Amino acid sequence: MIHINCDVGEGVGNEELLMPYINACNIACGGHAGDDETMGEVVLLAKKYQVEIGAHPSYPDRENFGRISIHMASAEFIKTIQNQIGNLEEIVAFHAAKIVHIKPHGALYNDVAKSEERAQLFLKAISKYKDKYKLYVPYNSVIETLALEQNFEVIYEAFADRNYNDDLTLVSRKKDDAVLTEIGAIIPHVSLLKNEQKVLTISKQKITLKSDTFCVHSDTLNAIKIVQQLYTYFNSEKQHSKPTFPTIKAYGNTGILLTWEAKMTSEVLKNVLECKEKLLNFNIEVLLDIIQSNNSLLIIYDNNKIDFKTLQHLLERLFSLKSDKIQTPTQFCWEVPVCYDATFGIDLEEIAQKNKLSIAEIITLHTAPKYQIFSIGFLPGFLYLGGLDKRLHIDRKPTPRLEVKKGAVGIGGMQTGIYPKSSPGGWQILGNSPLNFFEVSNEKPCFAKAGDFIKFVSVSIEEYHQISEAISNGNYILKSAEIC
Amino acid sequence: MLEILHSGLYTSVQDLGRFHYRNYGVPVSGVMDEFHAKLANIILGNHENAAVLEMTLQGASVKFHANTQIVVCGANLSPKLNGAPLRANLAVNVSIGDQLVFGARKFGVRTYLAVKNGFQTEMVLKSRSFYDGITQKSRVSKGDFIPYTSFLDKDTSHTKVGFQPILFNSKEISVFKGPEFDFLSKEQQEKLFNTTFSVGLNNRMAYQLEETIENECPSIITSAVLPGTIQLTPSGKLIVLMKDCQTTGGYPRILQLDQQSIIKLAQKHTRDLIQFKKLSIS
Repeated sequence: MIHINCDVGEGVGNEELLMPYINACNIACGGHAGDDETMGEVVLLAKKYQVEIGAHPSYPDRENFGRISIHMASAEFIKTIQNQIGNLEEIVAFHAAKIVHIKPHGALYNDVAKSEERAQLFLKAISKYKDKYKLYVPYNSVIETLALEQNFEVIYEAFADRNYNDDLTLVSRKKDDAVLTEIGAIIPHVSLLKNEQKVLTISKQKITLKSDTFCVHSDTLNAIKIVQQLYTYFNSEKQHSKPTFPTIKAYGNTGILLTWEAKMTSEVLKNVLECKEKLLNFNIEVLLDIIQSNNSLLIIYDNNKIDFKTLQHLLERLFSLKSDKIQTPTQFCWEVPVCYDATFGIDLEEIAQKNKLSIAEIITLHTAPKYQIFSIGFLPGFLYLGGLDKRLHIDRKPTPRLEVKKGAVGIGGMQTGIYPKSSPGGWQILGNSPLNFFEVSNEKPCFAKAGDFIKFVSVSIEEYHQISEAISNGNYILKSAEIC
Repeated sequence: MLEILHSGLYTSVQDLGRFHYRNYGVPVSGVMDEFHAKLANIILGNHENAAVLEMTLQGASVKFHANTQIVVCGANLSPKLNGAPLRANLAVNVSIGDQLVFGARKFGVRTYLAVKNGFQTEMVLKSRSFYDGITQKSRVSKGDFIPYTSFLDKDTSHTKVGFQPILFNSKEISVFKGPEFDFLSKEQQEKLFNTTFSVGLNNRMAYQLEETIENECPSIITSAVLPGTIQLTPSGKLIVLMKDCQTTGGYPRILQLDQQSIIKLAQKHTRDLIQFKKLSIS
């Protein structure tokens, strides 16, 4: 795992593409680039992709993009730095986000690394943020020493896309070999820094250089490709070992299948439903449909707009985001009246015999649990329910019936369920529910959804007919309770 | 209105399908052969999702109760308009009282009749595709009247579209690896691509293939399936799911047809031969 940061809001306009792959961003706050509008846009994107926000103040010199040293009066310098950070603070507060760090830009970054006077002045300018924000510094620099003395919390930053001199300064941009643009050169460079805390300088010396975060310049040629590949190389591997992380497989050339552990449990279902909610939340235009099942999601995508590999990377990044802010829809427990009278419960006798239970015991066992709905499939409105008591498990009929009535409540193997319409079927039938589980005229054709619960309530044959009548007159009120 | 004088073997109204209700267990449905259904609509200047009449092996006999333009695309079931042979892929005007009758099957399985602006049957869950339990009817029957809007314009498009023999004659069915392809042994995988399979029982839900693959694959926890998914059943038979397939299934999904191969298979008849060709995801 590596931590990647990018300078953003500098007018390149590629932030939406970068964000999924980076961990932190340094937002230009008006000194060398950026204005209220760009800051606002970038803050929202950072929030969306849960990327850490940093202030990126600079010498006030838009013309030279903050890339040359400027001599300023101390008071004037302190004022501009505080104004820049203050501007961003306001915007960040407006969007209910937070600043994590400060990173000086361009010539200022280089100056504070070398000059004690500049470093002292800069630290003075930001001293009021000392307890709130961390400070990005290069290893073995003047500002590092001073910041540590003054109890700033420092983050060591190395450059993923820049060559270093033997004194650990960056090779000047005026030289041809200042910037690394080929991923073939960047990966070994970053690997060495990450694994040995060393850098191979321009004169081929291996010198110690500590790094907590790696900077990729968003205006570097191939910046998007570089962050994608760094991400894939260093950061996707660890996430695969997370237990809640699904395996991703292509399903034809328009589908991506996400599969969790091969279990029908509430925990697995929770992961599936949270992931679905996350995907819906991000409102990704290229996703056409998401089909949820017990331990999987099948995503249908528009293959004219995105290819499998790119979408796979995007998804991996999304999954690594913390999901505590994702609200899954409220879950309900629905009361489902079932008449277990012998007119409907045509297999009750057989179940009683085979499972050595009385009919009353069958009804008690069947109405006791809250069954969780794992998915809807097989027939429109057919609920896959989990939680059937072991004592009620029973094999399907050796020969299926040609017609099982609409509303029939049955058991097949380890599952119980309700036939939403008349159809052929091999389940053992123990009763019938007067409810409609699928109504084509409703925008939501089934009242229940995956994640909800069902509680069967035994009703007499008289009550059954009363409920039926109320339903056909539109007077029946379905009983439900919110699950907290 | 279009009056159904004779329903044919299996005739239904279909558009491109019913999406976004799969989480309620509602199949996608829609035309089996998207190429020829879209072609028919394009020739008439319709939206490609306009509802058409899909006929299977034996066409219907119909009478027009309003003026319109029509086109027939897909399998050749010898259509005759008022007794005269009707060319495929060509828009023609029809008048009140005209009759369209289909006869002997020459090639292919499914043919499409489109009218100007499409058939206007009930829209259910954002689609007009017939499906049992969703729409009132699952197929048309004798005496039905199918609504469409009247249209009178003596100019037809004159677009002449060539016939695409590859969609009817080619044995080659292109497939991607399915999610459970790796459950298969090397021998099973090779056998899939070295065997010529013959089409068995088939309908809008699925095409069974006759030849079997020895199978010890475990079932999976019920998971999503798609039209074009090939499932391997415990008996070793392969089932190619088609447009009316269920939304989920528990058999291993070993292969997935590409869009064009679904079209080709939709025009295959019992005992026709097919051969799989492997594709990879770029």
